[in-house]
Amino acid sequence: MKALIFFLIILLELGYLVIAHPVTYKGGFATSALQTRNDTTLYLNYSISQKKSYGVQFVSLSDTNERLLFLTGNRLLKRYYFFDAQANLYATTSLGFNHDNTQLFPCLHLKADAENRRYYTDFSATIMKPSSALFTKLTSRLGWAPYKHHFSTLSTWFMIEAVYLNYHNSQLELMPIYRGFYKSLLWELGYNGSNTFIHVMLHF
Amino acid sequence: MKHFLTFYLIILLSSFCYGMGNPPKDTTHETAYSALIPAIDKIDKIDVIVKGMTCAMCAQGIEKKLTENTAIKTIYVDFDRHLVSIECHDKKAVSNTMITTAIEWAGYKVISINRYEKN
Repeated sequence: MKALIFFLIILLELGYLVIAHPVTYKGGFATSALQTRNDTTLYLNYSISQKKSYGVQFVSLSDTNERLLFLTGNRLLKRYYFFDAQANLYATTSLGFNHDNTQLFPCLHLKADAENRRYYTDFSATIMKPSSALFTKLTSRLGWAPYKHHFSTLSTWFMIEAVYLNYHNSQLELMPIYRGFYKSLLWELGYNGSNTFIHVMLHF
Repeated sequence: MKHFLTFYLIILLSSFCYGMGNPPKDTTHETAYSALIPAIDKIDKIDVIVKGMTCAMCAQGIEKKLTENTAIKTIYVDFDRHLVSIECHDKKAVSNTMITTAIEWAGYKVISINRYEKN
Protein backbone atom coordinates (compact mmCIF):
# COMPACT_ATOMS: atom_id res chain seq x y z
CA MET A 1 0.00 0.00 0.00
CA LYS A 2 2.84 2.36 0.92
CA ALA A 3 4.52 1.54 -2.36
CA LEU A 4 1.31 2.37 -4.26
CA ILE A 5 0.93 5.73 -2.49
CA PHE A 6 4.59 6.53 -3.15
CA PHE A 7 4.13 5.60 -6.82
CA LEU A 8 1.08 7.87 -7.15
CA ILE A 9 2.84 10.79 -5.45
CA ILE A 10 5.81 10.43 -7.78
CA LEU A 11 3.49 10.31 -10.78
CA LEU A 12 1.59 13.42 -9.71
CA GLU A 13 4.84 15.28 -9.12
CA LEU A 14 6.11 14.25 -12.51
CA GLY A 15 2.92 15.67 -13.97
CA TYR A 16 3.81 19.04 -12.59
CA LEU A 17 7.10 19.01 -14.43
CA VAL A 18 5.74 18.56 -17.85
CA ILE A 19 2.75 17.55 -21.03
CA ALA A 20 1.84 16.73 -24.70
CA HIS A 21 -1.04 17.52 -27.04
CA PRO A 22 -3.58 15.60 -25.06
CA VAL A 23 -4.44 18.54 -22.84
CA THR A 24 -7.87 19.59 -24.02
CA TYR A 25 -10.20 21.56 -21.76
CA LYS A 26 -11.15 21.22 -18.12
CA GLY A 27 -13.13 18.03 -17.73
CA GLY A 28 -12.38 16.84 -21.27
CA PHE A 29 -11.29 13.37 -22.37
CA ALA A 30 -9.09 12.58 -25.36
CA THR A 31 -8.51 9.17 -26.82
CA SER A 32 -6.34 8.19 -29.75
CA ALA A 33 -5.05 5.19 -31.66
CA LEU A 34 -1.92 5.25 -33.80
CA GLN A 35 -0.56 2.55 -36.07
CA THR A 36 2.77 2.58 -37.90
CA ARG A 37 5.17 -0.13 -39.02
CA ASN A 38 7.18 0.36 -35.82
CA ASP A 39 4.53 0.72 -33.18
CA THR A 40 0.89 0.59 -32.17
CA THR A 41 -0.24 3.13 -29.58
CA LEU A 42 -3.50 3.48 -27.70
CA TYR A 43 -4.03 6.50 -25.47
CA LEU A 44 -6.66 7.88 -23.12
CA ASN A 45 -6.39 10.97 -20.98
CA TYR A 46 -8.43 13.30 -18.82
CA SER A 47 -7.76 17.03 -18.46
CA ILE A 48 -8.18 18.24 -14.90
CA SER A 49 -7.63 21.81 -16.11
CA GLN A 50 -6.79 23.62 -19.33
CA LYS A 51 -3.12 23.16 -18.43
CA LYS A 52 -2.88 19.69 -16.99
CA SER A 53 -4.01 16.18 -17.80
CA TYR A 54 -3.32 12.61 -16.82
CA GLY A 55 -3.51 9.57 -19.03
CA VAL A 56 -2.81 5.94 -19.74
CA GLN A 57 -0.91 4.85 -22.82
CA PHE A 58 -0.23 1.42 -24.26
CA VAL A 59 2.57 1.02 -26.79
CA SER A 60 3.53 -2.11 -28.69
CA LEU A 61 6.92 -1.91 -30.44
CA SER A 62 6.80 -4.32 -33.35
CA ASP A 63 10.56 -4.38 -34.07
CA THR A 64 11.44 -5.70 -30.62
CA ASN A 65 8.07 -7.23 -29.65
CA GLU A 66 8.01 -5.13 -26.50
CA ARG A 67 4.76 -4.09 -24.84
CA LEU A 68 4.88 -0.96 -22.75
CA LEU A 69 2.31 0.65 -20.47
CA PHE A 70 2.62 4.28 -19.39
CA LEU A 71 0.94 6.43 -16.80
CA THR A 72 1.43 9.96 -18.03
CA GLY A 73 1.28 13.42 -16.55
CA ASN A 74 0.87 16.15 -19.14
CA ARG A 75 1.44 19.84 -18.71
CA LEU A 76 0.90 22.84 -20.93
CA LEU A 77 3.93 24.86 -19.94
CA LYS A 78 3.15 27.97 -21.94
CA ARG A 79 0.63 29.10 -24.52
CA TYR A 80 1.25 32.16 -26.66
CA TYR A 81 -1.96 33.79 -27.87
CA PHE A 82 -2.33 35.77 -31.06
CA PHE A 83 -5.51 36.73 -32.88
CA ASP A 84 -4.81 34.45 -35.83
CA ALA A 85 -2.24 32.10 -34.38
CA GLN A 86 -1.25 30.13 -31.35
CA ALA A 87 1.96 28.58 -30.07
CA ASN A 88 2.36 26.04 -27.30
CA LEU A 89 5.02 24.42 -25.20
CA TYR A 90 4.07 21.05 -23.75
CA ALA A 91 5.83 18.55 -21.61
CA THR A 92 4.90 15.03 -20.63
CA THR A 93 6.49 12.83 -18.06
CA SER A 94 5.55 9.19 -17.92
CA LEU A 95 6.28 6.24 -15.79
CA GLY A 96 6.54 3.26 -18.09
CA PHE A 97 6.20 -0.42 -17.38
CA ASN A 98 7.83 -2.92 -19.69
CA HIS A 99 5.61 -5.98 -19.67
CA ASP A 100 8.32 -8.27 -20.94
CA ASN A 101 11.09 -7.59 -18.46
CA THR A 102 8.83 -6.24 -15.66
CA GLN A 103 10.84 -3.07 -15.45
CA LEU A 104 9.74 0.45 -14.52
CA PHE A 105 11.35 3.34 -16.35
CA PRO A 106 10.77 7.09 -16.72
CA CYS A 107 9.99 8.76 -20.02
CA LEU A 108 10.22 12.43 -20.96
CA HIS A 109 8.49 14.05 -23.90
CA LEU A 110 8.76 17.72 -24.88
CA LYS A 111 6.84 19.39 -27.65
CA ALA A 112 6.62 22.85 -29.18
CA ASP A 113 4.09 23.81 -31.82
CA ALA A 114 2.92 26.92 -33.63
CA GLU A 115 -0.02 27.23 -35.99
CA ASN A 116 -2.42 29.51 -37.68
CA ARG A 117 -5.23 28.42 -39.99
CA ARG A 118 -2.87 28.06 -42.95
CA TYR A 119 0.42 26.78 -41.58
CA TYR A 120 1.48 24.39 -38.88
CA THR A 121 4.83 23.45 -37.44
CA ASP A 122 5.95 21.40 -34.48
CA PHE A 123 8.98 19.79 -32.96
CA SER A 124 9.03 17.10 -30.31
CA ALA A 125 11.58 14.96 -28.52
CA THR A 126 11.04 11.75 -26.58
CA ILE A 127 13.57 9.97 -24.38
CA MET A 128 13.05 6.70 -22.51
CA LYS A 129 14.87 3.51 -21.57
CA PRO A 130 12.47 0.59 -21.83
CA SER A 131 15.24 -2.02 -22.05
CA SER A 132 19.02 -2.00 -22.05
CA ALA A 133 18.98 0.42 -24.99
CA LEU A 134 18.06 4.09 -24.81
CA PHE A 135 15.05 5.06 -26.94
CA THR A 136 15.21 8.53 -28.45
CA LYS A 137 12.81 9.95 -30.98
CA LEU A 138 12.89 13.38 -32.60
CA THR A 139 9.93 14.44 -34.68
CA SER A 140 9.20 17.55 -36.67
CA ARG A 141 6.22 18.48 -38.83
CA LEU A 142 5.44 21.15 -41.35
CA GLY A 143 1.84 21.50 -42.47
CA TRP A 144 -0.19 23.51 -44.93
CA ALA A 145 -3.94 23.89 -45.21
CA PRO A 146 -5.38 24.44 -48.71
CA TYR A 147 -8.14 26.62 -47.28
CA LYS A 148 -8.98 28.31 -44.00
CA HIS A 149 -11.33 26.11 -42.08
CA HIS A 150 -14.17 27.37 -39.93
CA PHE A 151 -15.57 26.24 -36.64
CA SER A 152 -18.04 23.75 -38.05
CA THR A 153 -16.44 22.78 -41.34
CA LEU A 154 -14.14 19.96 -42.28
CA SER A 155 -10.49 20.88 -41.91
CA THR A 156 -7.80 19.60 -44.28
CA TRP A 157 -4.05 19.67 -43.83
CA PHE A 158 -1.12 18.32 -45.81
CA MET A 159 1.94 17.68 -43.72
CA ILE A 160 5.43 16.35 -44.03
CA GLU A 161 6.83 14.65 -40.98
CA ALA A 162 10.48 13.90 -40.31
CA VAL A 163 11.22 11.28 -37.65
CA TYR A 164 14.61 10.38 -36.29
CA LEU A 165 14.38 7.21 -34.24
CA ASN A 166 17.27 5.72 -32.31
CA TYR A 167 16.58 2.40 -30.58
CA HIS A 168 18.88 -0.57 -31.13
CA ASN A 169 19.52 1.00 -34.53
CA SER A 170 18.83 4.45 -35.88
CA GLN A 171 16.70 5.55 -38.79
CA LEU A 172 15.49 8.75 -40.34
CA GLU A 173 12.16 8.72 -42.10
CA LEU A 174 10.06 11.22 -43.99
CA MET A 175 6.31 10.75 -44.11
CA PRO A 176 3.74 12.76 -46.06
CA ILE A 177 0.55 12.93 -44.03
CA TYR A 178 -2.99 13.96 -44.77
CA ARG A 179 -4.76 15.29 -41.68
CA GLY A 180 -8.45 15.97 -41.46
CA PHE A 181 -10.68 16.88 -38.62
CA TYR A 182 -14.32 17.62 -38.17
CA LYS A 183 -15.66 18.89 -34.86
CA SER A 184 -14.10 16.60 -32.23
CA LEU A 185 -12.76 13.87 -34.50
CA LEU A 186 -9.29 13.97 -36.07
CA TRP A 187 -7.76 11.49 -38.48
CA GLU A 188 -4.34 11.28 -40.14
CA LEU A 189 -3.19 9.04 -42.96
CA GLY A 190 0.34 8.75 -44.26
CA TYR A 191 2.29 6.57 -46.62
CA ASN A 192 5.88 6.91 -47.84
CA GLY A 193 6.42 3.77 -49.90
CA SER A 194 7.65 1.57 -47.07
CA ASN A 195 5.66 2.63 -44.03
CA THR A 196 2.07 3.58 -43.32
CA PHE A 197 0.77 5.94 -40.68
CA ILE A 198 -2.78 5.86 -39.36
CA HIS A 199 -3.91 8.02 -36.47
CA VAL A 200 -7.39 8.68 -35.09
CA MET A 201 -8.17 10.97 -32.18
CA LEU A 202 -11.42 11.90 -30.47
CA HIS A 203 -12.11 14.60 -27.86
CA PHE A 204 -15.18 14.23 -25.69
CA MET B 1 1.13 1.71 -58.97
CA LYS B 2 0.92 1.96 -55.18
CA HIS B 3 2.33 5.48 -55.27
CA PHE B 4 -0.10 6.48 -57.95
CA LEU B 5 -3.02 5.14 -55.93
CA THR B 6 -1.83 6.97 -52.82
CA PHE B 7 -1.43 10.19 -54.75
CA TYR B 8 -4.83 9.76 -56.33
CA LEU B 9 -6.42 9.07 -52.97
CA ILE B 10 -4.88 12.20 -51.46
CA ILE B 11 -6.05 14.36 -54.36
CA LEU B 12 -9.51 12.86 -54.13
CA LEU B 13 -9.71 13.46 -50.40
CA SER B 14 -8.41 17.00 -50.70
CA SER B 15 -10.92 17.85 -53.41
CA PHE B 16 -13.69 16.45 -51.28
CA CYS B 17 -12.50 18.33 -48.25
CA TYR B 18 -12.09 21.58 -50.16
CA GLY B 19 -15.67 21.34 -51.24
CA MET B 20 -16.73 20.76 -47.67
CA GLY B 21 -14.67 23.67 -46.42
CA ASN B 22 -16.99 26.51 -47.28
CA PRO B 23 -18.02 28.52 -44.25
CA PRO B 24 -21.46 27.69 -42.95
CA LYS B 25 -24.18 30.22 -43.31
CA ASP B 26 -24.82 32.00 -40.04
CA THR B 27 -28.28 30.53 -39.70
CA THR B 28 -28.22 31.06 -35.96
CA HIS B 29 -28.55 34.80 -36.33
CA GLU B 30 -30.93 34.47 -39.21
CA THR B 31 -33.20 32.32 -37.15
CA ALA B 32 -32.98 34.52 -34.11
CA TYR B 33 -33.37 37.93 -35.71
CA SER B 34 -35.20 37.47 -38.97
CA ALA B 35 -37.22 34.34 -39.22
CA LEU B 36 -38.63 34.12 -35.72
CA ILE B 37 -39.92 37.64 -35.20
CA PRO B 38 -42.20 36.76 -32.27
CA ALA B 39 -39.27 35.24 -30.39
CA ILE B 40 -36.91 38.13 -30.91
CA ASP B 41 -37.64 39.88 -27.63
CA LYS B 42 -36.91 36.72 -25.69
CA ILE B 43 -33.31 36.46 -26.83
CA ASP B 44 -30.31 38.40 -25.53
CA LYS B 45 -27.02 38.50 -27.36
CA ILE B 46 -23.49 38.63 -26.02
CA ASP B 47 -20.46 38.98 -28.28
CA VAL B 48 -17.10 37.86 -26.95
CA ILE B 49 -13.80 38.60 -28.66
CA VAL B 50 -11.42 35.71 -28.05
CA LYS B 51 -7.70 35.43 -28.74
CA GLY B 52 -6.00 32.23 -29.89
CA MET B 53 -8.81 30.46 -31.75
CA THR B 54 -7.15 28.76 -34.72
CA CYS B 55 -8.13 25.11 -34.46
CA ALA B 56 -11.77 24.06 -34.76
CA MET B 57 -11.19 20.80 -32.94
CA CYS B 58 -9.62 22.53 -29.96
CA ALA B 59 -12.28 25.27 -29.93
CA GLN B 60 -15.04 22.70 -29.50
CA GLY B 61 -14.28 23.05 -25.81
CA ILE B 62 -15.66 26.60 -25.88
CA GLU B 63 -19.03 25.36 -27.09
CA LYS B 64 -19.02 22.48 -24.64
CA LYS B 65 -18.17 24.63 -21.64
CA LEU B 66 -20.60 27.44 -22.46
CA THR B 67 -23.55 25.17 -23.19
CA GLU B 68 -23.26 23.73 -19.69
CA ASN B 69 -25.15 26.92 -18.72
CA THR B 70 -28.80 26.19 -19.48
CA ALA B 71 -29.58 29.89 -19.97
CA ILE B 72 -27.49 29.84 -23.15
CA LYS B 73 -29.53 29.05 -26.24
CA THR B 74 -27.04 29.05 -29.09
CA ILE B 75 -23.36 29.70 -29.69
CA TYR B 76 -21.84 30.86 -32.95
CA VAL B 77 -18.06 30.87 -33.42
CA ASP B 78 -16.45 32.96 -36.16
CA PHE B 79 -12.69 32.50 -36.51
CA ASP B 80 -12.36 35.35 -39.01
CA ARG B 81 -13.78 37.88 -36.55
CA HIS B 82 -12.30 36.16 -33.45
CA LEU B 83 -15.86 36.12 -32.23
CA VAL B 84 -17.90 33.89 -29.97
CA SER B 85 -21.49 35.06 -30.19
CA ILE B 86 -23.84 33.86 -27.47
CA GLU B 87 -27.60 33.98 -27.54
CA CYS B 88 -29.34 33.41 -24.25
CA HIS B 89 -32.79 33.43 -22.76
CA ASP B 90 -31.70 35.45 -19.76
CA LYS B 91 -28.43 37.30 -20.00
CA LYS B 92 -28.48 38.01 -16.27
CA ALA B 93 -27.88 34.29 -15.79
CA VAL B 94 -24.82 34.51 -18.04
CA SER B 95 -22.32 36.74 -16.26
CA ASN B 96 -19.07 38.06 -17.67
CA THR B 97 -17.23 36.03 -15.05
CA MET B 98 -18.99 32.85 -16.13
CA ILE B 99 -18.16 33.51 -19.79
CA THR B 100 -14.53 34.35 -19.05
CA THR B 101 -14.09 31.28 -16.85
CA ALA B 102 -15.68 28.94 -19.41
CA ILE B 103 -13.54 30.25 -22.26
CA GLU B 104 -10.36 30.18 -20.18
CA TRP B 105 -11.14 26.61 -19.10
CA ALA B 106 -11.36 25.81 -22.79
CA GLY B 107 -7.83 27.20 -23.14
CA TYR B 108 -8.39 30.65 -24.69
CA LYS B 109 -8.12 34.28 -23.69
CA VAL B 110 -11.05 36.70 -23.54
CA ILE B 111 -10.30 40.17 -24.90
CA SER B 112 -13.70 41.86 -24.59
CA ILE B 113 -17.36 41.14 -23.88
CA ASN B 114 -20.15 43.20 -25.42
CA ARG B 115 -23.75 42.80 -24.35
CA TYR B 116 -26.72 43.77 -26.46
CA GLU B 117 -30.06 44.66 -24.99
CA LYS B 118 -33.08 42.82 -26.27
CA ASN B 119 -35.37 44.84 -28.45
